[in-house]
Amino acid sequence: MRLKFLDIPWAATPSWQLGPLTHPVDAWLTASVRRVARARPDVFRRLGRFQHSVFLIVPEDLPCAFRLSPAGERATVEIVGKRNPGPCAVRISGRMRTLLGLFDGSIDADASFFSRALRVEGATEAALALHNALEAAELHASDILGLPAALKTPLDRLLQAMGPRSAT
Amino acid sequence: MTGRKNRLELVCPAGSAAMLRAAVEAGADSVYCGLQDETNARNFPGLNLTATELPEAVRWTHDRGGKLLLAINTFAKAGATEAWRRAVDTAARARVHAVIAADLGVLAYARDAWPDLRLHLSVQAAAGTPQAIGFYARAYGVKRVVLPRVLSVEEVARLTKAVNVEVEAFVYGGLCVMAEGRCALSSYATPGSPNLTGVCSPPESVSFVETPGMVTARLGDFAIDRHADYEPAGYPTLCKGRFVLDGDPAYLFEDPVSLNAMDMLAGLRKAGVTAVKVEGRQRGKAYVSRVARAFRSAIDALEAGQAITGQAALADLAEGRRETAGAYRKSWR
Amino acid sequence: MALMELSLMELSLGPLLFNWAPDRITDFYARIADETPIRRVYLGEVVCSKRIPSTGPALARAAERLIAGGKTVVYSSLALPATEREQNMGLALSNVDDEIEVNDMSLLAYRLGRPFTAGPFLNIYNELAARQLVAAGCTRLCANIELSIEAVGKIHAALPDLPLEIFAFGRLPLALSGRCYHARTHGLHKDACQFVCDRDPDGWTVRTIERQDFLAINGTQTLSNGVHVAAVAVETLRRAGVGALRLSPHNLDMAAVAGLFDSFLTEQIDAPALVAGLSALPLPGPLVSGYAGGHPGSRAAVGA
Repeated sequence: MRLKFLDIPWAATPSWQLGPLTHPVDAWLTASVRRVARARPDVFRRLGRFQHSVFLIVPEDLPCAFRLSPAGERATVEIVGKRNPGPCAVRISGRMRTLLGLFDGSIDADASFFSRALRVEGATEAALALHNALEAAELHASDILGLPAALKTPLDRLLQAMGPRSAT
Repeated sequence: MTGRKNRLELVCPAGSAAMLRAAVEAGADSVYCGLQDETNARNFPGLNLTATELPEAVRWTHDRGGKLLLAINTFAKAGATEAWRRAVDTAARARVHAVIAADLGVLAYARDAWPDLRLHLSVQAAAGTPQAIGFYARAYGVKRVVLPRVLSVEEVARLTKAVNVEVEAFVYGGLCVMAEGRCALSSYATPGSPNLTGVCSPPESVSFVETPGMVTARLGDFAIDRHADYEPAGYPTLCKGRFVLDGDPAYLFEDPVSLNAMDMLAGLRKAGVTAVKVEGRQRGKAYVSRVARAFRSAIDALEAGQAITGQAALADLAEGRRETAGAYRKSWR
Repeated sequence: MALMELSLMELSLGPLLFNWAPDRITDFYARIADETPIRRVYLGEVVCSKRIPSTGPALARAAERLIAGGKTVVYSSLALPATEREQNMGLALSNVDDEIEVNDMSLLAYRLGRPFTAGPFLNIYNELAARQLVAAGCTRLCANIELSIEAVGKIHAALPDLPLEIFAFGRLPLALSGRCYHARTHGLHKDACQFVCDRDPDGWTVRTIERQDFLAINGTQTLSNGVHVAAVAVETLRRAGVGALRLSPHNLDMAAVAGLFDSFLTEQIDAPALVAGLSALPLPGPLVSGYAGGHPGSRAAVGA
């Protein structure tokens, strides 16, 4: 599947031996989450008892969803269809920009929630733990998307140029 | 105490070291934090500072001329008071500017084990009269009291004149309509309460059930509110829900509004209040940056004798997208 | 087991929380004086000082009647004094020589070490805090409603000589506010409330949007809809150091309630039978007992 997001063609990554994950974008996102886990173990520790929960992140404006299992260095991210995404502890839905803004703390989660830009179903406490852990982590969208270093700054600058990630 | 002509101190929440930095950089004079356990009243998963982060956070803040206050403001558990005493020790060793406490036992421990540790009386102590405040001041040496949000500006003024401690008043954020530290609404419906476990309406008991076109917010076994799925929602804190007496569902206890007392700053300053407090450790960096910046400008404008104009800037941060000046206006009753 | 132990647990009657008419108050306490084994009776306006001109004289007469009937009368303070007038009332109460119940920390400023009962409206949750109150003169503690029997036991273990009471019957006083919910619901301001709270002698039941009974309002106070009962074996209560069970007045046959609890304390009936007996009375809500076991307060009482 070739995703066109922000008009950046998502190149297939080098193949990774990651067991059941064969999709290139899955592998790429998984690698990036594991990279964060290695560099920032504190972020994962903050998740506490939710380190092994499954988070389903559902961007309204993409045709797919992301199953995130943040088990530290064995973290995985899978791309799944929206119809049968599989079981999860919590489902977080919103526009991609809102989700990214929440992940890097540039949006006030409560404000998004109040305006319904963000919807949470299932274990609210798990969503809260994820948000709080990411809030404390000061990660940037580029960290989360796992872009090669060369693309990090242009992406962050591009997102900034797109304007503040408003809560609506 | 009154007669102080100093600028109002701006006290902002910090749910993480990152949020602390955002608050100070946006102009907060003081920040308040909690540890990652039941010893503070925002014991949400993933929130707050670890004991190891604290000393560095203190140093960072103090290096910039700021003050770090540590909230140990829940009530210690019978037969298991160790965590609260350890929290006091951690705070003292990290050289925080002050500990904010409510439990008589925690105050006594702090007074006896760390006599030089500055003590502030938490709003959870529900000390809303000069007599109550005077008792805590004499018995435990508290230097500042955080006032319950149920007082009007006139009452704040009278109270400030009548006591010998500094007064800190909430000016922004979530409103608590019941006497804090003495509210068991949450623990009636869920396994947690601000007093017992440091969380009101704990997220573990919260669920949002979506049906076609509607979302019902539940707390434990009880439906707290229901909206069309495009309407603004709120965290289903029990007292902000909609309930039924005889007629239609209504916000019986309080509308889901937020406090914004920016218009009252001049009145509070005149009343002799030392510090103004922003609620919201769980709200994050984006929130605290905006709120701190807005109140920093307002306080500076007040100091310079200029008009305060930034009121509307924070409207979208409000719960239910509406704001109130709370009990500061007597008509609230 | 010594006979002395059996007679140690007593029944107390908590302060009347509701705005009853003077005649009802007089009749109620006459029955308490004449027809119940209740030992201690707490009297005083705890919720709203505006009621005092109406209820005060009747309560004062009730005190005389109760004392004549051999009961111990304890004067209870307001739980959330705010105005200067209310603060002065607290001062006056702190200065009486009789037994008083302190429901707000304000009174400690004036009590100056003289004896007092600490009421359940104080946020005392552990033995360290209880010890602080003892140092300030506390000679009896009614446990905060949120405390489990186990927690009460921990306090007892640290302070074995402090008599302990628990809230054992009645709608639970969950919260207090500066705002009057009765007035607000009738579209009135607290200052011009017309005393509409007198329409609900057990509180006004609040339902959820799914029409499930949940809470009850009583002026500035929010209560549970459920009627709490300390449905725990007497032996467990005794071991936890409970010396008295406090029954909160409701608009029903309190003498029957007291009779059931008396049978329970003298071990003629067990906890499930107590629950069954109470269920047969016209209670304002279903029987709950969550707090006793450390659970959410709304959890149903077993056998209810």
